[in-house]
Amino acid sequence: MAHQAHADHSGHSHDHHRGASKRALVIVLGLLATHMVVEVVGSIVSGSLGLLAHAAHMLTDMVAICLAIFAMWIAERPATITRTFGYQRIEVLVVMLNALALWVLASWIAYEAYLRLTEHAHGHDHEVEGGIMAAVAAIGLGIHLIAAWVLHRSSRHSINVEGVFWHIIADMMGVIALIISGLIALFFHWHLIDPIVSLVIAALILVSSVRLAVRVLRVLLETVPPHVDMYELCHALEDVDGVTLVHDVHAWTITSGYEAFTAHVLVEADYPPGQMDALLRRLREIVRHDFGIRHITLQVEQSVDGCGEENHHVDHLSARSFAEA
Amino acid sequence: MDRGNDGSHHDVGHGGHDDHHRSSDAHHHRETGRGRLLIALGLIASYMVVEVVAGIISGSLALLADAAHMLTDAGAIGLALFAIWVANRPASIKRTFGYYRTEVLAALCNAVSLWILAGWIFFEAYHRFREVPEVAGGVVLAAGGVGLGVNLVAAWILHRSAGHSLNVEGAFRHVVADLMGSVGVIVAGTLTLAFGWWIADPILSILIGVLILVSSWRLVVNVFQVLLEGAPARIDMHSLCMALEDVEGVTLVHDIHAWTITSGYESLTAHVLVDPDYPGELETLRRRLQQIAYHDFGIAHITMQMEQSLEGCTERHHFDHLLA
Repeated sequence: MAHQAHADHSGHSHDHHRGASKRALVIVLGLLATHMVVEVVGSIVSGSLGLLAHAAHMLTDMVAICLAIFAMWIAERPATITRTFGYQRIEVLVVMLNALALWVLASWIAYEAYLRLTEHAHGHDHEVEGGIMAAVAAIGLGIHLIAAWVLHRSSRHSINVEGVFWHIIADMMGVIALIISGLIALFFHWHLIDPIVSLVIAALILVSSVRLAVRVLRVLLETVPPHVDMYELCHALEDVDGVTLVHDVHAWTITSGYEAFTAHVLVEADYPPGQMDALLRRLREIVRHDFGIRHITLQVEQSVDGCGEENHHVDHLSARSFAEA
Repeated sequence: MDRGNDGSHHDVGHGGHDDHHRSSDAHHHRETGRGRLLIALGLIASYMVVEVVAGIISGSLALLADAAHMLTDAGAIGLALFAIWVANRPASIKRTFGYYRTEVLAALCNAVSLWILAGWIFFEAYHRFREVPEVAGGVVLAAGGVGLGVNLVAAWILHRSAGHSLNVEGAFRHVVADLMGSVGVIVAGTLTLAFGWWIADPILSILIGVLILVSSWRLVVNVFQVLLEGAPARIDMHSLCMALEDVEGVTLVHDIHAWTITSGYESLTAHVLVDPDYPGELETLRRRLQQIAYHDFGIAHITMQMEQSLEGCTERHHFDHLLA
């Protein structure tokens, strides 16, 4: 399935990716649920607050995955007259909520660690059964490695799956920290390691989610997809016989892997009307094949009269022609 | 390129702002919104300074706490102003739609922070049900009263611009939430002082939390509507399609999309299938269709692809309004 998805770059590859992504998410959901039960039992037996906190952390992970599956399901719903782009954007919004949740989580961990540190300052230490803690966390590490491997294969194709992937990675850091602090508590009886490690985990969660948040913001701000070179695209269109000028160009991302492009194309006034349709098709082919953008609207015009409404014509030529002037 | 085009080319690039009422409408609303936000910010900031000075002189922690509270309002308004400042930056080749969306994102930030605020209020109220809260003293009541007045004026100033801009509405909702908070403090404080009904405080808190959630719901829905690129509520897509198809020569309008870039600034793209035997000029026909979308439906940014056959049309989700 994954191979097929990789090889197939045209047509319905997006649908393939989505199906594979959904299956990966369901598998991971099952893995995490198992791990959470193990952790809750482990925390009751060992008396470790860290394990319980981590189990709560996993619960938010599972909510994130459920949200991601829900987003994929709803994105498949057909477009309607009031939602002409369909529900695809929900995927992006869910990622944003996911990132927000990660930040809240990191703050919570930091707060908990602060509480424990102040308790230590007052001479109280949480004592934990380090051995059980480390053992439970080691099981968790195995489960998380499988989950990360399952997700890694689909995470490149969907910003949504990537969101969950980073959740899992952040989680894995937590598990590793739990193993280490469990062992230290077991052998050295130094219980202060727990809150210190927690603070490090919180910092790691923050760092891992910033990258994702930046990408989401780029989509929501309707910026040009990073893999599209607008200058090159405009030049390619203008190199076609009969095209005078490309202006009012816009390219943006509807959802990961699905971009839209609109442009106004000024064509020579004496271009034969009978060949307009062929010219349009040729221009569309350039955008679609050479630049991989699948949703295209090109307004072919023979004069720019009446075209003053657009108030933010990004005319890629204006920069150059004004410099020349 | 063709130097002969430079004149018209220049018009295309720079005519938009002054000559055309649609885009300058949005511009105008942005400017008045900015002015009102500045006045509201000035009001709240000066009251805050007065509170801090009075708090330091009288040694009242309650006054300082209330000043900190007003700071969240000032923050919400400041965020809206910042978004307007960013939105005014010109578009670039990497950001072809400009920075207008920052306004919508600022509104989202303000909505999310309102929800967090409501959550915190519920949390506090839960604790106060279990233990008797400290009674609000006369100083707190007086500060709450003056704060109520300041917030009332600020809300009144922002009210009219809130209808035109999600960004201003986000700030407006914050001011209103604060206003409700002031009412709550005064009523609960009075009831506790007069009758010893300390339970009034948590009950009113929960009520205010619910009110904040309810009053910001519409804002959240509208923001999400924009971010999901749904059709603007004020545009009837069916009648827009009908109007375009009623024009002589047009066979079918398909793959039509209308969405909001920012409040008051919408974009439309459509593929228009033209009768291959239509004798008139495509250019004139297209201009007529654009005029309909522009004048009758108030859409400022239009891209129409005129086609004489459906060949080579590969969009994955052709929304064909005739299918419905």
